[in-house]
Amino acid sequence: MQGTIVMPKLGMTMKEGTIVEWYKEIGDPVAKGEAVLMISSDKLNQDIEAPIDGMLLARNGEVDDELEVGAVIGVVGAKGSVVPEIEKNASAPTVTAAEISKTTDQQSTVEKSSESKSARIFITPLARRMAAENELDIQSIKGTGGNGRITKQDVLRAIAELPKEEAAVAADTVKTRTKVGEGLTPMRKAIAQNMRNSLEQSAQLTLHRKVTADSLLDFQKLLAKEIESNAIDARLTLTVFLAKATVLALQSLKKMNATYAEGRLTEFDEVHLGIATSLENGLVVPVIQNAHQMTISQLAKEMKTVSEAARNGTADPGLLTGSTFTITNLGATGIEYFTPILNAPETGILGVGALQDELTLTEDGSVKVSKKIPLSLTFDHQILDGADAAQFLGSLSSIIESPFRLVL
Amino acid sequence: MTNRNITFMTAINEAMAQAMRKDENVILIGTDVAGGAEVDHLVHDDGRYDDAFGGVFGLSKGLVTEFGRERVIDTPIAEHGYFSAAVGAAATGLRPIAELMFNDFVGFALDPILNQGAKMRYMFGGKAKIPLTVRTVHGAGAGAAAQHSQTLYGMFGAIPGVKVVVPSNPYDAKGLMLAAIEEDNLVVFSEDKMLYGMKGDVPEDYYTIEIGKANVVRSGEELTIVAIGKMVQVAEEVANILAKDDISTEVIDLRTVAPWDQETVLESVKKTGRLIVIDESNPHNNTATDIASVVADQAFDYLDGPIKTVCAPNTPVPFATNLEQAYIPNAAKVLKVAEELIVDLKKEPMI
Repeated sequence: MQGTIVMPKLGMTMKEGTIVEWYKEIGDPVAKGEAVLMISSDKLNQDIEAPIDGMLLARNGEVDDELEVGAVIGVVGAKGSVVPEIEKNASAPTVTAAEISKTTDQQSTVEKSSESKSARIFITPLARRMAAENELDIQSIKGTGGNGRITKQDVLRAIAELPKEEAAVAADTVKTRTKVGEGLTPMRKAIAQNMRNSLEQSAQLTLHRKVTADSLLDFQKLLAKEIESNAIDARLTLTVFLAKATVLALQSLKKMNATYAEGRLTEFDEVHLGIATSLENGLVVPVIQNAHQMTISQLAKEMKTVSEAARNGTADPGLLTGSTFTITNLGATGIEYFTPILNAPETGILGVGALQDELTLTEDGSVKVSKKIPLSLTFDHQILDGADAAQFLGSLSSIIESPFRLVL
Repeated sequence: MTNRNITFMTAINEAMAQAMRKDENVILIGTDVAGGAEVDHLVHDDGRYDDAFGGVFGLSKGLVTEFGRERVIDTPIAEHGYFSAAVGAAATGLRPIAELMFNDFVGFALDPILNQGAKMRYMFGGKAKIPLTVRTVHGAGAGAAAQHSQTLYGMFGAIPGVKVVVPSNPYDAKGLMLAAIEEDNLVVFSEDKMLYGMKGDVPEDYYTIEIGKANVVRSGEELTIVAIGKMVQVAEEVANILAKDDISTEVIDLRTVAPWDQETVLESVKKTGRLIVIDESNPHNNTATDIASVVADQAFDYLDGPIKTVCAPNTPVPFATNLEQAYIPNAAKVLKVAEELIVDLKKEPMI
């Protein structure tokens, strides 16, 4: 019996992984579940375990080789057993699907074939030709013909739904997109592709607004004392309060808590909040799932957990996808206003700048020092208009200025 | 040019009569094509003859009276013999019209058609022409049972050297018959017996319709239906029903089964992307399958759905009237296969 070690898919967007380190040499005994090598995806590193007890029979790549998801990385089997095909290609950086099916055991072969069956797209010859001429991805077209077939009508509909500019430049971008990030580390490459995709696929506009934070800061101090006395293991940073305020504002404007991709707008009741987190060599967006169900202290704890996991590279892949809105805080760097790029396919991202001291005129005519937070809201103008975005910033500001609403 | 509203049968009779008047080399030969004129027992006491019956359907009635027994020749029931005579007569300068009473009897007449008439011009280096017209009758619906109801034009159409025409209305019947008689090669002229009573406007004058050219009887944008003979009526019925759903159907009357008009059919399919062929033949190795094959090959990148054929089932023609009606392709059967092709065009599902 032999078992293959296959490049896993660690997230929705992962297409290939890089071998970081081999823990085992060919011929080393391995136990089922024992780590054989470490791979890195665009977002994190992960140990890959032996599927069965035995001996490492083949290694199909060296450190820094990139292999496609599903490619065979190695083979584990009984000592002395013959490795078909793969042994010859042991040093080849990639393995074809045919070779995988030869080396995988029967069960996984069955999985492969059923997977390919469900992925089969029915499309008429005419529709296929039209899609090719218009550089459309047929996977993104819904078939309404007989047997669920994609027909000419469906392709025409897809063309009509393309943003005009995109339709015009489709040819160029499709060709260049594959090269975006070439030669970079997996994470840098992912960032490059995501940023490019975001700017290509949406109409981004940023609104700026200043909000008075005096009440919020007082409220923060007040709560901090409470928390300390209750010995909760989390810091109540300003970001936590802003996150809570954002969740509340999002629930009053669902269009901002949405994704828009391939012509489909999806608005969410749940808020899964992405928190842009900078790392030494890049950027990730860990996600706080169901942030709308959390109290301030729960949010504080969860933010601490996910950002630590992200920084240490130990985040579960599920933790890095599925956000419905993102907050990015550049306050620590002294930046006031900026133009955040949408975390596609989301329709909004909130940028938080550094606290500013300002002189303001009070109601009784005297001058006082006031703390202001500069906010930068980027939104997808395809879906939202300036008035919607202004309304969102307005409701966010009123919550920040009346912070008791955060605990109502 | 005067148009008269006359039957399909009369139109064919008129065509033969005009051809015989125009060219004395045109003769008629077959079992009972004259039908009893000048036979002793038909003579009345006053010396007057009853008019001859003129074939089993009375289609050639009157011809023997006008042209005489020299040119309208009744034969024994011996198809091999008189078809051989007809091929010989054609090779030596006459333009015979030989009648095969029902196409179901083809077995007896096949060698003169398959091995002689269809081959001579080729094998003699073009020196012999075979201007023979074979009139025959096909089609179910008359309660004539399995041996008198088949649709076999596709069988003739599979023979190189044979042209096959199948008229769908009186006007076409006359024009195609005159073209067949003028043609220097063997032409099978296959008449659907169910169309004999069909009336239509037919000019009195002599005219021909080009063999090998299909007729677009209704132009449309979204679906092409190619139909043969009486199936053209089914196609038009379907087109009318689909029009209520705002689906635009092009109906092509094939007119000639061999060689069928690839140019017209391909041009239409390239426009509409969808094709249904209606053919009353049994479902395999017939004209519909041939059209489907050529279109799949020549217009593959234009197809927006599978090519559908609507044919008779793979059985003999039943005698029981209800079963016979179930055997013949009709509008309901065509609409059923059309559903898969046009589902993406419709707003409401078809009942």
